[in-house]
Amino acid sequence: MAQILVVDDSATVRNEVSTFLSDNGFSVATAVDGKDGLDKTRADGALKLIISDVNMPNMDGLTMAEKIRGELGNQTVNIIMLTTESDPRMKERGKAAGVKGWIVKPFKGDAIVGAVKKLVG
Amino acid sequence: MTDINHVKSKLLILDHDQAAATEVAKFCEANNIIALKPSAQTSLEIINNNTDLGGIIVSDAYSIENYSGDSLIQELHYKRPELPLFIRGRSPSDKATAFLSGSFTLDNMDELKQAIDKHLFTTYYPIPLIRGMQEISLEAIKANIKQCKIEVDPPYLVKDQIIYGELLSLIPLESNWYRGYMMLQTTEQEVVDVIQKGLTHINKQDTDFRFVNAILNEITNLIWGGIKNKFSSVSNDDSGINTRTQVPISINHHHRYISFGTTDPQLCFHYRIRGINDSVPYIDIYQKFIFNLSWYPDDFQNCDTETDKLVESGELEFF
Repeated sequence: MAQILVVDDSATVRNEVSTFLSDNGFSVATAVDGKDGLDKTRADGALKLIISDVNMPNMDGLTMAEKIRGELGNQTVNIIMLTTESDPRMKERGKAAGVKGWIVKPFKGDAIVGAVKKLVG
Repeated sequence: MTDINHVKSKLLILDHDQAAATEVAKFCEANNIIALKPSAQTSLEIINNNTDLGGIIVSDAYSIENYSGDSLIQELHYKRPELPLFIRGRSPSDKATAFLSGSFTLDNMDELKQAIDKHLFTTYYPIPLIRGMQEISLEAIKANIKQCKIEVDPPYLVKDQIIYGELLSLIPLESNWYRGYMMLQTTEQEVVDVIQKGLTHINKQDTDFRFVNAILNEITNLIWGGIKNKFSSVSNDDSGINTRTQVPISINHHHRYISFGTTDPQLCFHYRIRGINDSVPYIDIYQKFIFNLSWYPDDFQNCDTETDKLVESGELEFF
């Protein structure tokens, strides 16, 4: 059972983020796209936080967030988007899907670890 | 030190006359052109051995292999038809003139300048845009390759369409004032070396080519996002997105050739990435911008000032 699910189609980002979080004491799982993320969220009810990219093949991160809130009815897992996108319209869509935060890549680990601790508890 | 106040281009100089070649080289230096003079080559392979060119200057007296005069002009054009060909002296025949973009003599170099301006420096790239592209790219490379120092050549325009290296990434770039592609090209083994040294975010043992691709793809993705965030207008109108035109991109693996359907010069950057203590071989990355579908640089200034301070990367924005 992981606390955090990292969803990104880039192996580089999955390794970087999950290594950073593991080094800070979190248990981490990874998914390769939104569809995989949705399946793993469905299978792991203990997840506390999902950190997801937006632009991914098969299913994008915002659609995944909407499905987690809608289809799965999971209102408790926190979702943060880690993406190169900063379009306000995308952020609005994320907010509507219950996304709690937005990070524009490149990833600066130290700057957000406190926030992740706060969300994961 | 990178000088990006002038966009340069590279011309291959084929001239047996050393004094004339020196004069042409001086002209090139004064006109933002890098003159490449092959040393003691006896084969037309020199054409294939020089990539990222803007054109070729050839003397009317130049000969190589069994080619000279008409046959040389035709062969050069056959080998690299996308490259403008400038001749010093006179065209050997009317037939050869059809393959030439200009002729000049040493006592009238203005003719060469006019021909180069007409056939090579035809596209305007605003300097702040170039600077921004470069800064975003450097940040993206440093985010993926740790403890590296990066040398950057001055940006340059290329007319040839030759593919460099072994890996290539391609991504569309679109806003309401530009549409085109960005291409990154590099070689594999040097990237494997930095993975094995633990200088990337990939595990040291993951040297399969798919992981090598992942590094180039992530650099591409970060640059794409950075350019989109910094240079796309906030009030980007997407209403016409479904009616936008597209053109085919053709790739000829045999000739290592890629065509975006345009003959406009491509804006090119070359990054050389070294380990801080030179513990690994350097990696060369060639980056090309090809705005083949639309290019309205006059609209660049406005969106640049609008969005310059809007995007802060790396920080968490809570909703």
